[in-house]
Order: sequence, then structure tokens, then C-alpha cells
Amino acid sequence: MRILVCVKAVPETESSFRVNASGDFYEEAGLKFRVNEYDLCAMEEAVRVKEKLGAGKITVVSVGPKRVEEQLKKAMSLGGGYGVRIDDSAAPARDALSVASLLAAWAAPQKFELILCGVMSEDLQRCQVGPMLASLLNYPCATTVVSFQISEDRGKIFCERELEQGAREKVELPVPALLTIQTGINIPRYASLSNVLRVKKMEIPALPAAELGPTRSCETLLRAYVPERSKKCEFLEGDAASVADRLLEKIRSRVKVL
Amino acid sequence: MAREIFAIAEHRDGEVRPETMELLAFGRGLAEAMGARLTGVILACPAQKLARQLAAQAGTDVLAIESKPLAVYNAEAYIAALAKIISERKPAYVLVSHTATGWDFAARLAVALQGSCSTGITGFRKADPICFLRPICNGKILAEVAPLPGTVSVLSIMPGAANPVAAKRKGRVEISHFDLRDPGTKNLGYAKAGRGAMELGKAEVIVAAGRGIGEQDKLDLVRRLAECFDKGALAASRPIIDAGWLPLERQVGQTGQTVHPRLYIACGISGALQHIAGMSGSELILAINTDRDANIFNIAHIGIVQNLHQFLPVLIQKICARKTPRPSNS
Repeated sequence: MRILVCVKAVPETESSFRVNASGDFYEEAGLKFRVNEYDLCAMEEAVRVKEKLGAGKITVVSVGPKRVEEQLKKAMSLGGGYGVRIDDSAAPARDALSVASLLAAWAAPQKFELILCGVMSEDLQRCQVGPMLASLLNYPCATTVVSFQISEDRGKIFCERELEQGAREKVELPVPALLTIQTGINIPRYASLSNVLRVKKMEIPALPAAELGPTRSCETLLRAYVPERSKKCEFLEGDAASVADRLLEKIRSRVKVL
Repeated sequence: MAREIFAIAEHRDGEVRPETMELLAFGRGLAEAMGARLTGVILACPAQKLARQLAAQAGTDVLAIESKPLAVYNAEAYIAALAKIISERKPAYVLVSHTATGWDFAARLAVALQGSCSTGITGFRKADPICFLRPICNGKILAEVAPLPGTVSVLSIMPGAANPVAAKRKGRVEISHFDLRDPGTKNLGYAKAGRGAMELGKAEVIVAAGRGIGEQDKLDLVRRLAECFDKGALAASRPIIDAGWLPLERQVGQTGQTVHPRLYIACGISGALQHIAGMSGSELILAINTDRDANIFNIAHIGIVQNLHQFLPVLIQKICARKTPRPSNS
């Protein structure tokens, strides 16, 4: 089976964020990046499919500047054979449809049978790129997938989608298909040393975004700013013992639970 | 003629979903701001009962589309039906809930319509053009986006972005019958995950652990704090459930449970929007986190910037000095 996994490099969410000089996105300088957690789960699923079928080819793709090569390789070290970076310094602030257009232009001729994406990126949480890529490639698609099986003749995929309040929806799709993977579907493995060393030595081809033809767009980013902090939160400062004392007093005066 | 705004209803098991009422409330606010007309759109088969329920509850006119493939949710059938009605009625905006169902069809609908698409929206600002607000980086940055001029715009609205209000009148219902092809993707039905009783709803105090607790053995400290309260329960945000440290029925948030305890203690929880959607209605919210910028402090009433591993033992000792802890049911 020819499997594609799409991964994104995202900043650590615990970081402290600032707005960039042009005032329309977050400033990258000073941030530490890692593989989007949802995408890492997608990568793990791809490796499991290949292991189960006993054969297959896993390609990993990321759109972004040179720095995303590190996260691309990190994802590949779980068991991806090939990696491609669509070279685009504008990628982080691009709207979802233009990212999906680049991916689609590159992926269409390769006829992947299964494409796995994360449900969303941790930084932007738009949940758009995966389903849009499916639309542009004319693939059926299921999102928020928490388990899936491929039929023996490899013609169908049975998925469970996660809905609200613990509900599940069962879906059957014909192959080729695109799935967006929800966290919790697996616990991604630690990369083996041999895989880490294998990937480290690999040259990752960089495909200039401009060579992939015109992209479509779906929104305009006007500006970004740090929102005003809510003033309703009262911070209790001091050493642990005095904070605990004042806290218990406040709890007792406001709700009768102690 | 005034422009129209469509709000697409979600329903399951013969009931309109609660997120739809919030979506219609958001739609009403947007319609008032731009002098537009709000129409609720429901796709179902049979459609009449659900359409009437929606029109009565929301007090909006409802357009129902009835077709066999719409008997249960199906993305391909939804997209085909919506693309047809949208190209006929040409609404300015199509509002969808930012839920698992919304994520499934909103972006693909926008591509099919060659329209604009802005998701995860929590508000709008009246300007020319109207711009929409999207929290990014876990709420630490707010982005303003605008649809492309001259296109129909699909917007997905975060649950909780607006509060439903009681209907002042009963909306009218119009039903259209569409002939839709059988989609290639099949919905095989629904299941309930997890067998555990949904105990969290009964708890007076919920003590919830998040990624910030660090290691699995630190969960014990959070559990002990929960046991200090007579009607206390241990819960967690998504990363703890994903890691397998606690079962699914302990999860609070959009994909877990929505809770309204008297006291909610968030331990090491950053405040992802999906988590907040499940607990922001708590009476008193206490957050303990080492990251002073964490979004959880935007909704907490009391904030404590301390290391959990040092602070919780002190707090537990002070509570227990007054009473004997009881074993929790966790």
C-alpha cells in the first residue's frame, strides 16, 4: 500500500508567544518547534498499517521553510521510508486552502492509496488542510478517526470517528481515501536507534512551492494581537502555606464544599 | 433584499444537538449586526419533526432538506445537498458548529463552493468587511480573518461562542425534497465509547489533571486532593486520557463530558479551547499552573502560579488537618 503522511512543525504550546513585526501572525524567533502531536499519531498508524500488511511504502511530506526538516525527520524516524519537503517560507501563515493546494499538486500524480493527516494543528486548530486535500484530490475522507481497519481485499476502510460526549460514528470508505487521525488512537513509539541513524543521513528533497503551480486561497489574515487578559482571575501570591490558607478561606466563603 | 445567513443544524438520534442552539445564537448576533436574515438549515429524512423542533426552540425560520441519503449524517450527502441549496439561495455566510461533524464537512463544502473558509471562530468585529476572530496558540494570540470578497463564506463557530436565548416566536418551516445520489462513503451507525458510568456529572468538586502534572505517578497527588472532598471526583484533560493514564469516562472537554461542579480545580491544565468548552460553566474555577500566560487563567476565578508537586501536598495537608479523607470511587 502506498501511504502518505502529512506532518506539520508546530511551536510548543507552553511557549510564550509574541506578535510578529508585520502584526499578522505569531513571531517565530525564540520558539521551539516539535512535530504536531496529531500528525505523530498519524505517522504511528501508517507504520502499523505497513507492519500489518507486511509491505508498503510510507512517504512523509511537510510544507515549510528549511527548519521543518528537523520535524519531518523526527516523524520519519518512526518508520517512514521517504521524505519530501515542499519548500515555502510563507507556509506557517498561509491559509489552509493554499497549503492544501500545494500538497494536492504534488500528491495527485503519485496516486497514494491512503493519506493520513492529523485532525488539526496544535497552533492554529483550523481542522481544514486534511479535508481540503481530500476534496482537491477527489478522495473520500473521514475525520477524527480513533480506529480503522482495511478490508482484506484492500478496497475498503472501516473507521470509527470520535464525536462529542464519548459518542462514536462508524464509517465505511472506498480506497483510496484520506483520514484525519485523532490523538489517543495510539501512543506513538519511540524511534529505534537504527531508524534515527538511517533518517539522520538522508537527504530530504526540497521542492520549491512556486513549481507546484498557482494555489487557491480561502481567507485573508488581517492582523494578530495578544488579547487582553481576563481581569476576573485573582492570583494568590506568596509561599505555598500562606497561599493554601488564603485559598481555603476563599473556597469556604464562596462555595460550601468543605 | 437583506442578505441571508444559513446556520446548519446538527442532530443525532432524533434530537437537535445543543451546540446548534449556540450556533443559532451566534448567527442571530451576526444577522443583527449586518442587517441580514438568519435561516436555520436542517438536513434529515424524515425532516418535518426535527425542523419543527428547531424552529420552535430557536425561534428562527427553518429550511429543511429531505432526501434518503440524509437519514443519518453523511459528509458527501451533506456537501451535495448544501452546495445545491447554497448555489440557489446565495447566502452571504454559512455557519457550521466547530465540532467533529463540522470539521468533517465544513472545509470540503467551502472547496466545493469555491468559497471562503474560516474555522474555529469565537466572535466577529463589525468593520468593513466584517472580520472574524480566531484564537490561535491555545488562546495566547487572537487572529482576525476576513472572507475573500465576493465569495460565499463557510464559518465554523466554536461551541460556547454565544449563549442561546429563549425563542420569542416560533419560526416557519419550509421543506424541500432533493434527489441525491447514494454517496460512496457509508455511515454504518453510532456507538457509545466507554462503559463506565458518567459519574462526573454528580460531583460537587472536580479535581482535574492536565499535561502539566508531568509524570503518571504524580496523578496520585491529584487523586488525593479529590478524595479530600465529600463529593469529589478525579477528572482529566485530553492528554492524560490519550496517554492511557485514566479511562475515557474521566475526560472533561468537548469530546469528553461537560460538567458544572460547584468547584473545579484545574491542575496543570493549559486551558485548550476544547477543554474549556467542557468546564467553563463551573461555579468556582481554581487553576494551578506554572505558566502564568496559560489560557486557563483567562477563565479561572482564582489563579495559583505554583509547582503542583510542592503546592498540592501542602494544600492536602491543610484540608485533611480538619477531616479524614474518604476513598474516592476512582
